[in-house]
This record gives sequence, C-alpha cells and structure tokens, in this order.
Amino acid sequence: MAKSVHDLVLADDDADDCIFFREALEEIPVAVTLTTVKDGVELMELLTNRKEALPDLVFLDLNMPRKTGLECLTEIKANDALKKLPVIIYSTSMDREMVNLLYKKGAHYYIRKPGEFSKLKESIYTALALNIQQDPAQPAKEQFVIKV
Amino acid sequence: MSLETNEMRFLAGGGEMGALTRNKDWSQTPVGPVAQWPQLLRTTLSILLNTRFPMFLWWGQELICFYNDAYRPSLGDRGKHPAILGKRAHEAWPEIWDTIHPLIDQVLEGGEAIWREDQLIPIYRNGGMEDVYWTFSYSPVRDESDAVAGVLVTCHETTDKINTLKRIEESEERFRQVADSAPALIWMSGTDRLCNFFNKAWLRFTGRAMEQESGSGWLEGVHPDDLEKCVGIYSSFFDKREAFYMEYRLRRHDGTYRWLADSGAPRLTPSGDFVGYIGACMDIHEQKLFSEELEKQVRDRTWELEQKNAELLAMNKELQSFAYISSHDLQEPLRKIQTFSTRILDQEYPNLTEDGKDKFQRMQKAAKRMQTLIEDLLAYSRTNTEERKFKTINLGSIVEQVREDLQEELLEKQATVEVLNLGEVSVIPFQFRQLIYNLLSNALKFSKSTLAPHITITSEKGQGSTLGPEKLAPEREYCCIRISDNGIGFEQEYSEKIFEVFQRLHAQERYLGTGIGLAIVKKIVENHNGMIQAKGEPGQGATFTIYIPASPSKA
Repeated sequence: MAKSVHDLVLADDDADDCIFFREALEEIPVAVTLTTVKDGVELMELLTNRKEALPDLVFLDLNMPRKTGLECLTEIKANDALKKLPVIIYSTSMDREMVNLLYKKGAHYYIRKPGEFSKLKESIYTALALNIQQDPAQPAKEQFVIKV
Repeated sequence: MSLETNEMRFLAGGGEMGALTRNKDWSQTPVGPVAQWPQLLRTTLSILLNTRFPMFLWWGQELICFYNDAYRPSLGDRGKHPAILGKRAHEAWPEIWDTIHPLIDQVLEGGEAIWREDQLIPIYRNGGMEDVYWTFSYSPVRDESDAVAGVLVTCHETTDKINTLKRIEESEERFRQVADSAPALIWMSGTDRLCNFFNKAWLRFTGRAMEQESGSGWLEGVHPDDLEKCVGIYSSFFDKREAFYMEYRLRRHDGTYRWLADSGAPRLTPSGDFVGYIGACMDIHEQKLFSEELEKQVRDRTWELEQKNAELLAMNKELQSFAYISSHDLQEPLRKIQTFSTRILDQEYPNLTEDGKDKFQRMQKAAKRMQTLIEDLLAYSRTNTEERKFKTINLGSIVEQVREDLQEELLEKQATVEVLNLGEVSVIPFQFRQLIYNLLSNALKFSKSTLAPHITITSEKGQGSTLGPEKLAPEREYCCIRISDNGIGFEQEYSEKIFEVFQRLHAQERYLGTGIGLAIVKKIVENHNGMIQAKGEPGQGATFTIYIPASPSKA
C-alpha cells in the first residue's frame, strides 16, 4: 500500500452489511479508518462538514432511504468541492442499465455485494489495492465492475 | 266566251280553287250562272280565293259552299273535296250539321260573329271520320240592305297542336300515375329551384297538401338541425347540374321526424335543355338508427377494449416490475444467508459434527440454487423492460463472445463448437448474446456423459415462403439460425413445453437448471419478431431453429 492509512466512508442503511464490511476490513492487511452513515442524507451532511478533509474513498450503497446512492453520486459530481472524491458503488443488484448509468455519472468502480465472505474481503482488498488517489481519472468501462 | 271570260275576271287567280270555281257550271246550282252573281258575292269570293288564310263561305238562303286553297288541306283526300263546292251546307256537312247549324243560324239571324278556339268538330276525310280541332270565326256578309247574305268562315285547323298538347298531357299523366303509385317520396323542381310536384307518397308522408309543399313549403318539414345542410347540398348541386345524395330528417304527418335518403338528378329534355330536378326519397329511419346503434356499440366496445387493453398493459407492466423488484429484493436476504453461512463455516467449522457440516453444505447448495433462480428470473423479466435497440452485427462475433464466456464449461466437457456460414444479423445485441449463451449452455447441460458434446451453428437467409413455417410472412426476408447438438435430445411431444417458464423435463439431481433458460430464449426471439422451433429425439440430440426478420420492422 502506497499510503499507510485509508480514510473510508461507507453509506449503507443495512446494519448487517455494515458489520460484514467492517469485519472484512479487519481481516485484510491494510490500515484504514471507517466511518459509516445510514443513508444519503447523512452522507451528504458528513461530506459537506468535511470539505477540508475529505475521505479517500466513499463506498456507496444504491438502495437507501431518504436519498439514494444515485442521487448522492449526482450531487457529489455536481459539487465543485466534492466532485474529486472517488466513489465506489457497493450494491446487491447488477442491473446492466443501472451500471451503465452509474459509470456515466462518474462513479469509479462497482462492487457487487457477494454472498461469500471471502469474496467480500477480496473485493474490498482489490478496491483498496487500486490505490485510488484524489481526483483520479475514471478507469476504462471494462474495468468498472470489480470481479473476484 | 270572251264575255264570260271577262265576267270571270273577278275570279282570276286563286290557284286550284280559283280554277275549280271558274270552271264549274254554276247555272245548275241555286246561285245561278256567274253572270247573275251579285257584286257582294263577287267581292267576297275575290277576297276569299286570294287570301292565304283558310276561308269558307256559305252563301245565300241555301248556304252554298265556297272555299279557298288555304282551306283545301283540311278536307283531306278521299273526302269532300271537290264535291262540296257549290253544294248546300247541310248536304256538304251532314255529319256535323247539328253542331254548326245553330252557329250559322245565330249569324244569319243578325247576331254577333262567332269565335271558337280549339273546338273539336270531327269531319269526314281521308276515307273516314276524323277528330279535327278548329279555331274559327263565323262572320256575317251583309248586303246594301243590311241583310245577311252569307256566312264567312275564317278558320285554322289546330288538330296538330291539340294532339301534341294531348300527348304531353298524357305523358305527364302517365308520369303522375307512376309517381303516385311509387312507394318512394318523389318531388320535382323547375329551373327556378322551386318544387312544383310532390307525389302521393310524399303528401301522405307529410300529411300536407301539394299547395303547402310547393315552392319552398316542403322545407318547413325538414328538421331544423338538418335544414342548413339540406339546402346547402341542394343549392350547390343545382348550380353544378349534378346528381346528389343527401340524408335528412323530415317531419311525418304524426309530427315525428324520420330519416330520409334523397337522391336528386337534373331533368333534361330530349334536346338536352335543363328543366329542373327530380328526386326520390326512401325512409331509411330504421336502417339509420340501426347503423347508428351499431356504430355506437362498436364505439362502446372499442372504448371498453381500449380500457381493458390499457388495464392489461398496466397490469402487465406492474407484473413485470413486480417480478423484477421482487426477485431483485429477494437477492438481499439471500446474500445475507449466504454470507452468514460462510462466516459460520469459516469461524465454526471445527466445532461442527460431520452431519452438521453435510447439512450446512446442503443448505449452501440450496441457497446457491436460489441465487441462480433469482438471477434467471431477473434476466427473464429484464428482456421485457429493457430498451430494444437493433444493430446489424456479425453472428459469428456473438458466438465467439459466448464461446469465451463458456470457456471453462466447454473445456471441462471437451466440447467442440462448429460454426458455418454465419453472416450479418439485425438484432438487439446483448439480448441475442444471451440467447446464444442460453442455447449453448443448454446444449452443454444436456449432453451425453459418454460422448463429447458437438454443437453446430449455421445460418441462412431466405423468404418466409421458402423457409417453411406458416407463421412467417411469405414475402419477408428472414435469417434462419440453426443450433444442433449431439446430446440426450427430448421427446418431440415436449417441443412446445420446453419453452415455458419453469418447465423441466429432467430431475434436478441429474441436470441442473432453473427451467427459465429456454423461456428467455423464446422471449428474446419474440422481441425480435421471430419464431423458434425445437426438434428432438431421445438420445439423438436436439436442434433449435430460430427465424428472425433480416431487417427489423419499421413498426
């Protein structure tokens, strides 16, 4: 890892998924700090309050109450102060049209929540290993979905 | 003779009758020899013989007949001419004596001149009695003593005119009779557009008299809502002298309005002169109401159908989105079960009994199967909801992509895929890729355990009529794609059933599958406006034949 500590934010209303995510992080050899928020509104509040010290990465669930992941992504990419923030979609679904739309909206990667814990660890590890810096270029379309 | 000739000078000229009068031996007649004729007779005859107007003279007490050339034709042939010249009136005109005698007497008795117009006085001529019409005047010829010496007849035969008039009257009468006996309502108008005739059926219908209906009177019976249209059509066609058809409501004698169909046409004389219009109307009230009712019913039904259709569409859409959303949402808890189970296996594996481990693995297998099922269901409903964009691409490239996707399975089963003559196809790319994928994986799935799978894919283009299936449009060009395998095949009786959702021909243990794969294939073919057929024989492999239009329809 090029950078010692990753500062991550996970926006997901599902408590189980938050636990899985945190447990997976604990089992992979990287130093990270994780902040979780329960919906899109909370995420946008957090980002607005932390404009000066934005997280390194945002993992964004799509299906959330109050404000969906897609709405958040749209807002982030429309906001000059936030649009440099790399966003990784973290969702159960794998709808082709939705995937295309998210890529178009400027998300960097797409992780489909796997059914096996080992694969979850692998996915998160792969994503962190990509070593995404602030304001990176979007990867090629073929690399958008992280496959493990 | 010179003297006689001299005395005859007043009879000079006068054509045939002049000659006859000169040459007749008058001494044997009551008027006596010409030399003794009074001046008045001479003067009168001089006028009579030389005028071109038909004239006749009865002279003296005996009413001796004289007439001129102009009168001569009225006597015809084989009749009184020339016998009556110099005869007494009652001898000359026995057949009409009763008619003319009183008139002559009237004049003789010093009365006024007689004037008759177009009077029928039949006479004997042309070998028989004939009806002859006359317009005539009997006037007295008075002598110096004011006594009436003769009766001068100035006349004109009007038989031809009267006969012509009678023929016209007769034909009009015939027309009236025909018109009156017709069930149709008939009217006629003149060049002034005004109606001058209505037949009995019309008058019976409206319960009004001819005088009331004549002119523009009939318009009073036209329904106020139809009046403008009715007058408009009549006037515009009248100006163009063209036949017309119109429908309007006319008030019947009982006050109710009935729908009439009125066909009018210009009336022309044989010489082509326009003399007005004639029209006939039929009561089409019942038909009109019937067809209106029919139209209304059709409208109502159409509306109902549209409603039902809209409802169905909405329901279908709802169902599709329900299928999509529900299967989408089912993934969430399933994934949790899977994740939790892998967590337990990871962390608690040593603590489980052998039996517990086995049950756990079975549970995971069931969860995995459910995941496949949900994914297939999603794919199935997605074929309905996704946007359909046709693109012309090479079928070979699609097969190549699928071959890569199935690389592992193909290797594992040592399968070969033979590709022949694959050309361009116009398809929805990712749907068609799914179709090929499903068919290839189907062929792999149902391969024989003892024989390496061999799959052949061919394509050809041709008109619907030459390709075979009746469902194809005969004139349209289709692309026919055939995928054959050497697998376990199936009973031909299941050739339709295998395309139904959740239809499986084999037990789950032997051949894995959700029963959705071929249903998706069929749906995709339908999305391409095509059709698919399956042929098989147990143990002899299966062939799937797809027909899709070579170019997508514009509809």
